[in-house]
Amino acid sequence: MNFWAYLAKRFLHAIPVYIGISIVIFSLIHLIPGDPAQAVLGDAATPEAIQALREQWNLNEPLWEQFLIWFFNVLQGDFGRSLHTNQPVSEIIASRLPVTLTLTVSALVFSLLIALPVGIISAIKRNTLTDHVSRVIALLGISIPNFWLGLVFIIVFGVYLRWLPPGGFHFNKGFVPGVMSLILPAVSLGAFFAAISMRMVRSSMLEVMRKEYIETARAKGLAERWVIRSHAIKNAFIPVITVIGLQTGTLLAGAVLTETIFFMPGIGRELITAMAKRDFPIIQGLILFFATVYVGINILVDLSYAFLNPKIEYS
Amino acid sequence: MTGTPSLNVVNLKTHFFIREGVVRAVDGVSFSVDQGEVLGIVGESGCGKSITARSILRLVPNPPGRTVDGRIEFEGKDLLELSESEMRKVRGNRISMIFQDPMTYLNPTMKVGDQITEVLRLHLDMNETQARARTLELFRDVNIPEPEGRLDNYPHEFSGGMRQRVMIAMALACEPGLLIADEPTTALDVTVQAQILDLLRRIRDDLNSAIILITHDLGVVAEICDKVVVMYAGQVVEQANVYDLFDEPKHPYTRGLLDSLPTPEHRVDQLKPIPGQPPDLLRIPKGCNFAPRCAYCMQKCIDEEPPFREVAPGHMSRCWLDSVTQTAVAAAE
Repeated sequence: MNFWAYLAKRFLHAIPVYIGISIVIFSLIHLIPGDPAQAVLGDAATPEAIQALREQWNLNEPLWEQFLIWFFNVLQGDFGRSLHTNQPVSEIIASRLPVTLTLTVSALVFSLLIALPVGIISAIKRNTLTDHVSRVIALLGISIPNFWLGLVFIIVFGVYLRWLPPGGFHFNKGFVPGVMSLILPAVSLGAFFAAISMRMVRSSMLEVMRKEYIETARAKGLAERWVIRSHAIKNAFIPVITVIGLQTGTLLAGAVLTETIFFMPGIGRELITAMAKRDFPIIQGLILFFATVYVGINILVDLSYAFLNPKIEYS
Repeated sequence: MTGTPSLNVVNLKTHFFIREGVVRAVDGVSFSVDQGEVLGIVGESGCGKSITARSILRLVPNPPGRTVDGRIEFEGKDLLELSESEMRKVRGNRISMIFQDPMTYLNPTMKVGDQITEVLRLHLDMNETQARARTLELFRDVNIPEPEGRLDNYPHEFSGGMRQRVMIAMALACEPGLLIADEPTTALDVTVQAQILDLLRRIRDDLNSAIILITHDLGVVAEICDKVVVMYAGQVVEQANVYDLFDEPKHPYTRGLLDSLPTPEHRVDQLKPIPGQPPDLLRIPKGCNFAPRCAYCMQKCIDEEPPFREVAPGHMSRCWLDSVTQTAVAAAE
């Protein structure tokens, strides 16, 4: 089977996944207590006014009918409109996405820049001081929740030392202020990811360095640096890429908290706000969007796996 | 051009320093091999034969392993005296190695062609085009069918025998003065084994290289070796040319090995296996290492380590007995 046929097959597989996700998202939201009409109109609203609004939003129809209405609209690219601002959901996502994308990609780049070299060095210099120090730092990175790290960063670097802005997303003020405003959130979001990737790289490198073909490479007269670069790293990265790729989805989940803490206008904070207001169409649209990213990453990881490992064929 | 020594190993000691103590994996091993000669190193698993091979290339993982004593003379130099970068110029170039399982010893994610051109570019300073042309030639030399299409294949796309040919082609790339083959046929079918041995024989004749063949298979030794070294518990216990060793083994251990070999005269139900297990290398007995398993063991064998001495012209044995069939000279002393 060639590459394109494989890709097409993977996309076909995604269809039932999507239908399942849609049903779950829709049911969960409608099972949560709280009436959006009440939330929009406030406590002082009359029951008649609430009823009228519910009627307008089809909230009085049976749940399955509401689902079908929403689902077929989604199929046509219509994710509905915000119950509060009447702005189309797709427009909201499009306007907030750049912030979230910038944040998660920066966090990913930051973590990999740390994790890959440190993991490799830690494995090569196993049981030395370098190894011990990096492992302790990794343990801290894994143990500290990112929202807490974010708060500490804001207090220390934003409020006390005043080195970096304590929140916001300042690319509208220029590139440099934008980057400055990105550092704290990207580091606090990427810390866990960096730590977990570093440990993965380290253990995978250790395993590969024990392999027989590494001895062959040494017996060829290759310098140790070359043995590592051309024989160890690619083999070590095959399992690492799978796990790192799948973990990338957790960065998105982390972005929800990080954006809230750092007051960044991304889709994560939008989601929290929409939940508070029971703005169903936004919540449904955003979660469906998150799901799309997850599915997309999964397909990418599978493709890269086959690309790295010649033993795997697209089938 | 036999007779010119290629490699001379003198009193080699490679020990492993682990928490429980010192494992004397190779403990005073000496042998030499001439150009155009095939030396067999025989022994059970764990007797130190593979560690001996890796010590020659200085590939024993350190820590825990370290070559603590001895000389490895090769092409006028003591390899143990060389710096690491000088040693790298010897590995894969003047001395190369073939390993037991070509599946695990070839990099699974690298095209086989690249795994060979790498050696040529490193040691012979070839460019990519020259290296590929030479690799193609090597593939032809080791009889890989339709070699043109095979350079860009990955190891898993070859059969076991073909993989071993790739491994051999890699080892031959720089026409080494010494080829060390560590159990090169153990993982292969018998018919393929014979082809690989043929190939090694041809290499010896064409390149006049010295070959060290490490094996536990005396059949393979009889097939190809000129000289044999028998190892037991980190020491050489017997050394002789292949005819003398098979006709008249002097050491009881060698005798035991030969007796446990099935032949048409000795069918499997008549085989005499050597009783017991090799000693724990952490707790080597005071006298002869083989004494606890030896059918000819005397009090002297338990008390005193026998010397490695010439018991017949060109025939060395580490035993108080001159020959397992004769009376003990030592006992009479």
